[in-house]
Amino acid sequence: MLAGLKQLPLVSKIIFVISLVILFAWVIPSMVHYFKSVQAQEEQATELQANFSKYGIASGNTKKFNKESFIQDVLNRVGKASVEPLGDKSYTLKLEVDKDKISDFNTFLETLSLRYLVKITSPIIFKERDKHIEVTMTIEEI
Amino acid sequence: MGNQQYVTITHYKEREFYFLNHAIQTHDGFIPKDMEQFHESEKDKFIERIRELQAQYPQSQVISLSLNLNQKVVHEIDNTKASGKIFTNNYVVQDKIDIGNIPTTLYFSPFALLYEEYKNKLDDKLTLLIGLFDRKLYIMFATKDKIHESWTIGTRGLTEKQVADRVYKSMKAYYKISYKFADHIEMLVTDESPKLLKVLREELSLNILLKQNTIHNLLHHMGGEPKRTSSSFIKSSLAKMGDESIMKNAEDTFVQGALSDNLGNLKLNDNYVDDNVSSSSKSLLGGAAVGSLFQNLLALIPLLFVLGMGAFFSMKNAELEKDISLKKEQSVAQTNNALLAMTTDDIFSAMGKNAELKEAVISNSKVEVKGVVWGIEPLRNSLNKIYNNGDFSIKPLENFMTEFSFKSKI
Repeated sequence: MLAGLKQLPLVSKIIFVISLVILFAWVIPSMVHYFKSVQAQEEQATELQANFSKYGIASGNTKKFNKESFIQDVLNRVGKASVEPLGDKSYTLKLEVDKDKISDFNTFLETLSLRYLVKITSPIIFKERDKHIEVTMTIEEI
Repeated sequence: MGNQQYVTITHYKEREFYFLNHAIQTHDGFIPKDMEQFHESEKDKFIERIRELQAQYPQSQVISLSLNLNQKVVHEIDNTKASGKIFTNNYVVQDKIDIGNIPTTLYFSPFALLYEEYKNKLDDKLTLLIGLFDRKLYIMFATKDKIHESWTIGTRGLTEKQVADRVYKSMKAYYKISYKFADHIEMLVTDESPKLLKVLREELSLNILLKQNTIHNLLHHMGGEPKRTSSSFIKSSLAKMGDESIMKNAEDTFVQGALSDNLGNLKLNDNYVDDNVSSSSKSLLGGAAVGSLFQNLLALIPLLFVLGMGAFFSMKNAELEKDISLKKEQSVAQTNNALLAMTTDDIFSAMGKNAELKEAVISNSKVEVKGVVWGIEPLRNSLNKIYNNGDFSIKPLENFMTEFSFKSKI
């Protein structure tokens, strides 16, 4: 094989060496990284799957945040809601929760990031308003 | 006096005939004698005649020409093959020396003859040198410092027009591998064929300068001066065998009997030539010249393959990392939300019917709750049970009610 390589033209030899350098310096590390990433992805997926199962939500049903459908969904689950954009994919979320339905809000809170690709980035502020509680928080799209 | 003269004895084989000649070398050039011809069935007689001439002229060189089609000019000496130096870093090589047992002291390549003929005309511009020896084309592209490419083409059985076409194709083939046209073309024809000369002039360009000379004369010229004999196959072969005194002693006639190769290997019968014409044609259009290009293209396959693989895995890695990052962030967000929900549930459960909320700020690092309390101790106990380091305080209101506030870090 080495004798065969020796007989190759200089340009072929150079190309062959470049190929080897690229293989060892780029391709093989990329392959190793890829297989590690696949493993990490599976671990993350398993962790998330456990949460989906815990709250009885079908996995893969996580939606991207959309203001209108989100408000409608919150209305069905908790009560009135309003969303004000703050820029940079952040929003102020205001909810009206019946005092005796605070458990519904808790359920909503627990499953929020499983149903929508959002995270809460501020403390939650509760204020009493007559017969309901006004809840304010900042959410941000993931 | 005759036996004191330096004589060059030249021979070569064309088809089934050996052609023999000798010339007296003088300061003003060589004086050739009559050419002798022997049928291959008279090989012994032919060899005997050479020995006779050697005996007659003790100071002589027996010179022959390699008409092998498988010879090539390379830039590095190949010790596994028969090779001769043409000039600095330019060597002509062929697989083996195949003179058989015919006495020979110097053995030249047509490429060496071509270079010798035109070396003084070479400059920095690319010159195409073409030699037609025994109906074979020996072609090389050269500048004064380098022979860039060479190949051989058989023309046996072709018409003069087809020979001219082969020459033209060789120019095109070289252009394909180097993207250069020769600035100047020189052609040396050894066959005495006025018709071929005429056709070459007509079919090719007028820029091609044609020269005609016989193989014997060219060989006599090569053997005329010791300096010129450096362009010899046999020299490097002898050196390998420990004999470096070719030019010092005319008695060093090299008899190739030691080599096992038989002259029959050189027999230029029709089948042999046809095969070589065919293979040379391949060599011209898809072989040596294009072969080098093809090898370079082949070498690109592993390069393209590794680049493709690298690009594929890099792209997949980018996609995977994005997905992993998204899943990780979603997982963290869900965990934080669950903790917030747990804290909210704890606070509202602790207040129960003992208090009513006015305002609360809940995060995963602290809680601050304010409201109206009816059962102070039960509320304090409940909150302290959950957050034992919390700060619970009460304040009487004007309407006989009591306000509580609770702060704690989590």
